[in-house]
Amino acid sequence: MSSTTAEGLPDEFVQRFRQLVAERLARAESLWFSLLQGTGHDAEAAELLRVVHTLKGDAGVIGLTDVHLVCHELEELLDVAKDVAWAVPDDLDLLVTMSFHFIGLLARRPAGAPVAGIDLAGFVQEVDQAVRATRALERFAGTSPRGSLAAAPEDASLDQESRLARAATLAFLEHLGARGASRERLHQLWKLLRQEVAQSSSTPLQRLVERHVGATKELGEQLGKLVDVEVEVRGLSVTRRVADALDVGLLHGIRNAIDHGLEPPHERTGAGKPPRGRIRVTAAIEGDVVEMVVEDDGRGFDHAAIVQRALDNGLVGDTERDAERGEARFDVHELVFRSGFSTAHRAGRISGRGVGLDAARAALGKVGGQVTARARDGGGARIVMRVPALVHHMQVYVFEVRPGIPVAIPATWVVTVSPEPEGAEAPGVRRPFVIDPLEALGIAAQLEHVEHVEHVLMLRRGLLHVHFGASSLPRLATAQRICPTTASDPMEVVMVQGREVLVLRPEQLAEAALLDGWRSPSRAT
Amino acid sequence: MPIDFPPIKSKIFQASASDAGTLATLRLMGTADASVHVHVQQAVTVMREQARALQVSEVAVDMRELEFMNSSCFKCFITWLSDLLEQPAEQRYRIRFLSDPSKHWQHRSLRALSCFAVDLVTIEA
Repeated sequence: MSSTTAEGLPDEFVQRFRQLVAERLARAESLWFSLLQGTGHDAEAAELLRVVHTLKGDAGVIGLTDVHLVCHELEELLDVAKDVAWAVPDDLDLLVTMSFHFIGLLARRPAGAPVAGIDLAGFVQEVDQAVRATRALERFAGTSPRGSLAAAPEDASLDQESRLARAATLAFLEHLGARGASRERLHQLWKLLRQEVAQSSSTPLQRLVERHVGATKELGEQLGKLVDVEVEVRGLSVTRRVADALDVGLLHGIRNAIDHGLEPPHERTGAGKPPRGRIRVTAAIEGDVVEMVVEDDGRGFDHAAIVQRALDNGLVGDTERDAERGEARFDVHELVFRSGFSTAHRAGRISGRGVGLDAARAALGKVGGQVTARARDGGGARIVMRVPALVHHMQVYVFEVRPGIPVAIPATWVVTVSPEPEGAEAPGVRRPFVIDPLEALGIAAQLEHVEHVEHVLMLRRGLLHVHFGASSLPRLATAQRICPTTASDPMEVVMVQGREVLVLRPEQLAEAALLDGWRSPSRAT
Repeated sequence: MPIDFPPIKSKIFQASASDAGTLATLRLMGTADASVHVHVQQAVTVMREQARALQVSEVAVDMRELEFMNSSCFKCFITWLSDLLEQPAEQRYRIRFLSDPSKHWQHRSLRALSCFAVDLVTIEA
């Protein structure tokens, strides 16, 4: 009697499906390649969409919901690719290729086998973000007179999020230079794009944690341990950089708990514990700090073993060693974060805690966070990660370049102010080395106010000197980064005391001015 | 047995490898565009073979000095991971990508790549 899938389908049927998937994927990859190379045409495009749609339908019939899901995401990607005439960004091409591989992997998987390590939810999120960002850029390209700037040559090295932030910033700039109804429309466009940037850069913690839960259970099974994972992070989102750092911390914290904290069932019952171990992941945002905790009800830290291991491996210096004189007065919970502690363990020579916790500390440290390890009340271990949360701030000097039009520069520049010499210039005419920021950005001619330079701001950073004309004195302020652009962009929009302000990067702006050949910054010698 | 990885050097792209105990490191530098796809493929293929032969527990892929990699080159890593996932559990090893957070293409591409195998792939920025 032939075996069946969970859905009751005979094996032969499923085998035939797998064979068809392989054939269709090969054809789809070939079509995709030719369309990207420009050798494919409408017929190839139609066939590709048809092949993927058929795959999706077959997967639905077989009951392979994960294959069906990836096919659905692939269709989304192909729809966008078709709309941009197959001139797709690199990351979209990657996601399509990944979809092909995902489908193949999932379809070949034996019936009932776990989806070990595959983060389908994360993949869907990546696809959604790429689709959303490409759609937004597509809309912007049709509305902005400066659309070409958003497709500058260096864009090849930018991801969708950065390009979207650049597009949003350009929309804000255009709004500054526009009049009447178009000004309001451009402001609306800026707000829409800014929201897209915010959504694109926001990562729900729930999804971040869930991607580890499946792998956690499987690792437990491999190690002969029974694990329940409890997650309480619902509703919280963090920026992508914070999410990436927490991701590393979670990976090592959870693996550590399973590998070394939780005991096998017979050991737990012998110690009067339930056979199933418990890992609890919680998160909360307090003020500007995200706190994520991974705790388990396992055996906790073996202090003596950790100290001995640190001594054996030379992870503590002679001074510390002498000071201790063999007594366990080390801060054991800090020793587990020492570099090298985990490497020795991965080789399987010593038991105890510490796998990868040094990597977790390094990752969190890079975003200004920290991680600590402590014993959990009631037994077990508790890893606490704290990271500055949602808001990025920067110090800026704010000044007006026209009445009612403030701009800012990063406070990393040294600013000195000199008054415009009396009678030196008529209104609207400036000394040749003084840059009018709005003219450099190409919107001065559209403004009602002509430039009136009250002050010359001498900006200095390293060897670069730049002179900006200003109609007010600069003041130091804290700005909230609401739409971060990269350091190679000449500007960014921030929020200063509830007001949107354009931050200029003088080094980029000066370069643009040089390229335009109308005014040159001076370089100190 | 030391790692057998002849260094790859073109005008715009370089690759080298080293090993220490159960860790092997693949270092990529320069720019990986379509013109050097064959070199990237060679680097990844040789590293896969060596990782298996040396039975390493982890391969670090150092991209910090890699200015750019286009999607066709990046697909070599997708193939690598797909292949790794289909190996028996005892033959799998972890891959740790060392990235430069200021290079935005790395962030997006590696994050997507990690979806393949969250328990095998780590990204360090």
